[in-house]
Amino acid sequence: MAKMTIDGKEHEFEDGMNLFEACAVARGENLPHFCYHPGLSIAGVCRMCQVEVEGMPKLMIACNSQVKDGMVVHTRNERVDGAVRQILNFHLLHHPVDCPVCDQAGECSLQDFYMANGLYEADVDIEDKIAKGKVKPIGEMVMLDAERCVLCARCTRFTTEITQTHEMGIFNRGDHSEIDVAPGKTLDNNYSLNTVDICPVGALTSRDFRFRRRVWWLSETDGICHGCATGCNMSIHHSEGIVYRTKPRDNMDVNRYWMCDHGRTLYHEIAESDRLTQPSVRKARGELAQTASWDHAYRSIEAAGKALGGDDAALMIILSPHATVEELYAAKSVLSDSVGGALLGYRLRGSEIGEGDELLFDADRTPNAAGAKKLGLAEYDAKQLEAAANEKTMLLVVGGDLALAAPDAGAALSKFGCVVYLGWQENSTSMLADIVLPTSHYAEREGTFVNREGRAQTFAAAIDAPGEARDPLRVIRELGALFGHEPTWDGIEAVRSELCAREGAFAAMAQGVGPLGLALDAAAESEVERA
Amino acid sequence: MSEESPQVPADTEFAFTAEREERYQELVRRYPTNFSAIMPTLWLCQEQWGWLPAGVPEWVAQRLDVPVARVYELITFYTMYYLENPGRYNLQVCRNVSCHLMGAQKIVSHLRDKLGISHNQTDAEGQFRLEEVECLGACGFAPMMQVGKHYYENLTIEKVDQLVAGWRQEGERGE
Repeated sequence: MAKMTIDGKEHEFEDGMNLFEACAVARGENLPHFCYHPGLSIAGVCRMCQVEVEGMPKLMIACNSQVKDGMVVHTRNERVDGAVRQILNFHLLHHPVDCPVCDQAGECSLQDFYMANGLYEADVDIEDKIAKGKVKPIGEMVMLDAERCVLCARCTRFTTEITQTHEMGIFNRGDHSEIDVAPGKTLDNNYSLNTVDICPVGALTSRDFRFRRRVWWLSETDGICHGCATGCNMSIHHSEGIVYRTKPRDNMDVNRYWMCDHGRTLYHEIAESDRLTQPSVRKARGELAQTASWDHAYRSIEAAGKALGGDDAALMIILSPHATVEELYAAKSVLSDSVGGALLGYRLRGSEIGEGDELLFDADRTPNAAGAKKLGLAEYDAKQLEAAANEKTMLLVVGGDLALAAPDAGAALSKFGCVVYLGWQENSTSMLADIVLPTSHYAEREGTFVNREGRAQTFAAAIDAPGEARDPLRVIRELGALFGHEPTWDGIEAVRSELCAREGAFAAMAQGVGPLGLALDAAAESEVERA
Repeated sequence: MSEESPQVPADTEFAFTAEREERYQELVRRYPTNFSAIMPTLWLCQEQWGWLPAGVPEWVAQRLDVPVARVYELITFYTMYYLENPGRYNLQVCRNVSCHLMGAQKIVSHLRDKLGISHNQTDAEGQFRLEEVECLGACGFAPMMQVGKHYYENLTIEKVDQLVAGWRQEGERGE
């Protein structure tokens, strides 16, 4: 351990710790910086994090220095402030200062540091600023404005070290230096939008987000990406009931600082025209479905049950790895255990598997397969579905798109007496269903997913569901009542406590999972050790 | 994920002469990483073609198995790698202190008027290019310029006129 002094206070840090990080802890906030990023190598190019180290003749950049025993560091004095001002002067020399039309305004390091350390009249005034490329699309998702760039090299380090795709570089030299993609290259890897996140200024902006909303209007809600089994932690940025973008939330055990473009752009589905917003009922096969009230839809389910043979009619349930742990548990305990519906399984074997990569994107495109497995749910195959299909059975499909995952399944679905579909999006299964019950999207409800590594991660509702769409938990509860078994719980908290009490695999969740999730297996092991 | 190998235009095939290929192989062995060999390899290319024609940076990246972005970074950082044909005679006139004191600016303006081109421009025939450069270490013979591998020193307007006339004749004879 190293005993040292930062701004007059004694601190103790691990020997050799990065001085930038030590200063951040000691000050309670970061030093001014552009190029330092904890997920990237040290570049030391922006010169913003200079500090005074007693005994050293010149100021040192903290990001490239290590903590030593007896070190005396000053991060706030006249000398340091003066140096930061001078460096800011340099950074702004050729900057267009077009904040009013820049999308980064409000979350721009250059603006923030100018407010905190600058507020000066420029010492150097040049008449002709060097013109560089503006509004240049360098990939499907990313727009480049080279004039706003401070040459921190975060984007080039990202494409070199993290994706190792090497699309970007710093070309030319001196005040003509600019970032760009190499001739003939485009920034079109699945992680390109991370360069926009780490760009401290408005040089790289998201083509998906730019000019859609000023960032100071956005509220943030913690979400979990549902694009694959990795379960990247994300922050949902929304305003007045509309989601504008999603950004990665740091979680060293899952996605670190990154997130893939596929997962980030999924939020578009929330406001797509194919959202199911009202229940619909089809009078007979072959006819068009008619929108209906919830009451009418429930009565139609009752009527269909009677038509299928009253008490002899069977109920079969197909769950999905897209449903949350709470929903799967509720459906299993209420509709299967209490009502007596036969549970076929949670996933058609081998469906929704694509190609993954080594970084984050998993081959399994569903968010909660591990959670379903921990609940003891099983996969089924097409033969089982085929064998179960008969006219006397009502089929309840909870979430997912079975008919798309396996086109053959579509044919089997129409052999059931009545198909009820619970979901938030119009898809090939909802088209086949006789009764459709609209539910809320992940961004509109609370829940828990278990990712591929067995980490339970909860997410909160960011916005309200559109139209008459309801929380799936509520619909499961109402369906239970319809079948004569109203559950004792009335909300997600109650479902969770029942789940933790009854399902051993989730017992550790009783104390809450926290903002970064809970590794269920490790938690269970330590529980055993303690006992 | 890794970098796809850069695309060299399909209709161009680049190859070093046997002697340069040998020097290239020696270069690659000399450095601990191929990144260090990028610059000398580009020099070999310029020696062979006079500049770096389209496709050559990609070809170099492919041969050395380095990202093409790194090759372009180096080419654009340094001023003496040419992505455009510098013409047959690249007149590099020194503009640093000693030459400046001895009238380099007069030489430059004279060449500018005579050839109708300014700094970093090539004339319409692709014959001459004018480039103002920094010190070439011949201060004792200022003002001076470099053309190819030759230094032309103690320049005067008359001497420059003679040189240009000689090069024009050479060009017309197709030498």
